[in-house]
Amino acid sequence: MKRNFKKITALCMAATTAACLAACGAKTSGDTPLETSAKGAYTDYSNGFDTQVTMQIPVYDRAFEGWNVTDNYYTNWIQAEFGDKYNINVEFVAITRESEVNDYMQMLASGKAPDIIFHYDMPQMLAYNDEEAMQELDLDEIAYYAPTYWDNMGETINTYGAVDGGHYFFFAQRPEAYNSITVIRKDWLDAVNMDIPTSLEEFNEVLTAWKEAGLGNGGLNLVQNAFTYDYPFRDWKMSDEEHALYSDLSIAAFTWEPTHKYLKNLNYQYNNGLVDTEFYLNTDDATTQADFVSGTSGTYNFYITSNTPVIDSLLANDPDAEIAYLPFNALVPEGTIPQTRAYWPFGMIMGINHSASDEERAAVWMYLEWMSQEDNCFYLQNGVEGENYTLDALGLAIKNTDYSGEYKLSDNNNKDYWCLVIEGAQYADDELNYRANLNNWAPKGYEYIIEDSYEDYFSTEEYRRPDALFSVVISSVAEYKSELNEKWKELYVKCAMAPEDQFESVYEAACQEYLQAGYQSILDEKQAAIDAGNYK
Amino acid sequence: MKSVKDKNMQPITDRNTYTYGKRSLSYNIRKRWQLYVLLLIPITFALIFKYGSMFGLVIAFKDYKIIKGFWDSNWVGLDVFRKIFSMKDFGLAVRNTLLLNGLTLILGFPMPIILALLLNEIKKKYFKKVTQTLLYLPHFLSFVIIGAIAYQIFGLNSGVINNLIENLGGIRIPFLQENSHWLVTYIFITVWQSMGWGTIIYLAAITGVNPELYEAATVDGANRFMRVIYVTLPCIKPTVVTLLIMNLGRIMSGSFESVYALRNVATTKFTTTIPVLIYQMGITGGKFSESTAIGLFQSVIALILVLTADWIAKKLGEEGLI
Repeated sequence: MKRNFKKITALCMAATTAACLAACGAKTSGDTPLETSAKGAYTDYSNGFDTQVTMQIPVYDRAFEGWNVTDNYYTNWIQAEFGDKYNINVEFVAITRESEVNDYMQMLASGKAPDIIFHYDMPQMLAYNDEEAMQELDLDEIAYYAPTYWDNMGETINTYGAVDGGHYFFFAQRPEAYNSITVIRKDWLDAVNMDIPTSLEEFNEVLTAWKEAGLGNGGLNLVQNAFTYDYPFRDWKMSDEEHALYSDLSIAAFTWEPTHKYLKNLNYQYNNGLVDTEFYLNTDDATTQADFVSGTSGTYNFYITSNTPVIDSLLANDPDAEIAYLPFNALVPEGTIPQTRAYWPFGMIMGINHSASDEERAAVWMYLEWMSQEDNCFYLQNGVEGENYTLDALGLAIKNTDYSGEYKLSDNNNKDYWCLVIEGAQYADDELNYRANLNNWAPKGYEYIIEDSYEDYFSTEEYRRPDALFSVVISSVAEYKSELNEKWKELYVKCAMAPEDQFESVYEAACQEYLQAGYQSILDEKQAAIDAGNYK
Repeated sequence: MKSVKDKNMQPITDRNTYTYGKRSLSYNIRKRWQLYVLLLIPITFALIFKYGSMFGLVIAFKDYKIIKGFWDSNWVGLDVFRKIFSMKDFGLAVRNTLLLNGLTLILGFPMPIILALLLNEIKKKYFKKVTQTLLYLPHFLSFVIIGAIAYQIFGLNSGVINNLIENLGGIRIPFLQENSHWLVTYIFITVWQSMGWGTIIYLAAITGVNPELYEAATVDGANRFMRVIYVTLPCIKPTVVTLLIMNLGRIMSGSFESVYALRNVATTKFTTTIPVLIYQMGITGGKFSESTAIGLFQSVIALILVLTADWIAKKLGEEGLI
């Protein structure tokens, strides 16, 4: 009912605005430049809205212990500092990180989705757009209400935000991030007199030695939803066409040779008990983390932050545990270049809910503008000076990691609030940024992990490549994505668990099944788009 | 049995009852309005949740877009059905649903009856109560919990039972991690979970058995076992048949949670069932038209099964359900 009322109000207002615009246009035509006329058409809300606007902002709920994502000190602070100033009621809507698409689909179907629709990856955003979940954007309007944000992101929005001729997406900045890392048990390596592996062959030897020494396995979780598993097995450098056709974060390229190589190695590891032989039961991070922390497995891949509980938990279970950074090339077969996935030059991808009113949309732009202000973003990232952090001589915020009072930040430093404008904390120059990253990502005493990660990240920079971005909607991706993701799990686990001598025949049969389940349609449609040059 | 039944039907010809049955509805409502108000609660529930939601079935015939809604989405006739019938997983799902539910019915249906008969024979009151409570308990556990516990108990690498087996010198058994083992474990767990609760109706039916029949049987020289076979069982037969018909109606649907909580991606041979497919397509995949079409198909088959079972029951001389 409320929604309908809002819709009717929005319609009436839109009609009124259109009438006013037509009237203004008639009066001013001929003597005002078009741009000024368009800008003049936007209502100035810098003194706040006359009647309160309720703006719904999505926020990832990562189930941090003791953290209420929609009601905490910082959400209240946002309301007090931003909402109250402009007469906006800022409502946060929790989106489960593990099943965000489900959440969004259900909210969209019931008309309860927040004003911003977001996702970290483009294919899913295109799928939302295909459902007509978003409204077309007026870029001048963004520039009008959010000039600072527009200065930062305008060019990116112009370049990447269009689909089928209309602008639908806007973005957050993405500074370089190298905190997605794999750590390895250094004390286990010492126990078997081995160094940190530098190739897949060496890595498998380490795992074999661990197994023989009865230390544990190499871990492993079920690969699902995001498919980056095959990067270490890719040839450098492949043609643009081949890359565009197969490399896709959202759909596993089951029939591609890198997948074949990946599965062959996995099959070897599985049959020799080098990895967790129940890896297909490890469907979330909690289980792999538990295995690492309890000393069942000796490697763990995660996004490290200065306040991560992983290391403390590990040490609680085994005070002698030591960890080291596992370089990219430890997973790469000898003679192959260590490739990784490059992100597109933007962080969070966002669109405006199709049902958001003009006022709600304006409020969103104002919110982005407010958050783009250095002070506001800094406060959200670091908290209260003297409590959560202290400033050092260079102006860097030094985290007080033991702080647990009222102003406590979430476990990922409140990122799920400020990710709308930027993906990582930023300072004036690279050196400061590096120092800030160390503070934000490295737990005390483990700075060497980030130092190693930094070195590894930039030494392999030239081999990072983002997925191709198609400028037309590949509708078969949205059509078959969920079925193929299910199929992938079933088939790749089957290949991994096949007896070694039967691997090739199992893989061959699985490829056929995967193609029939819709992958062939995707390949055909992508090939047609590639032939037409609709990608970059 | 026939004569007992006829005898029981006598009061219907009793004058008072007869005329009471003939009174007009409005008279009955005025006279016993409290009962009708009580009746309103389940009727409202059924109207809202069972009939009210039925109009959503139109999306099985539409290219449903969540933004356009039920009415504004485009009609596509039977396209959605053609699509799902041509899906490879659809046939598999129908087979698995029938297989899992068929096996659960065959093995699970007699269990509550046997249990109820056994419980009825227990004379120690407290022992009986404690046993009953313990048997009912699993019914109140969510399958999410049962699934998690099942992997702790039956897991291959770290399950309690496998640890025990290995310590006793045996070989680990993939109870939940190999297709045919999974099937057996699944049936075992679902039967265990539901059998206790299922006894309630039979115990109630047994309470209604005329004690004189037992006395007569005892006089005729029947021992306890014979009394169960020749008195108790025939007396609760109508209840058994009614429940059988109702269970047959569920053979096409079955429980989503039980399969979903116990499945894993390594054992998918029997776990792709209709409810799981609906979940994957509708909730995970956002293909609401397809999942509604599968749901509709499932309901139609279930209805046919119920009507057939009812018809057969009536042919066999039972009262049936409808």
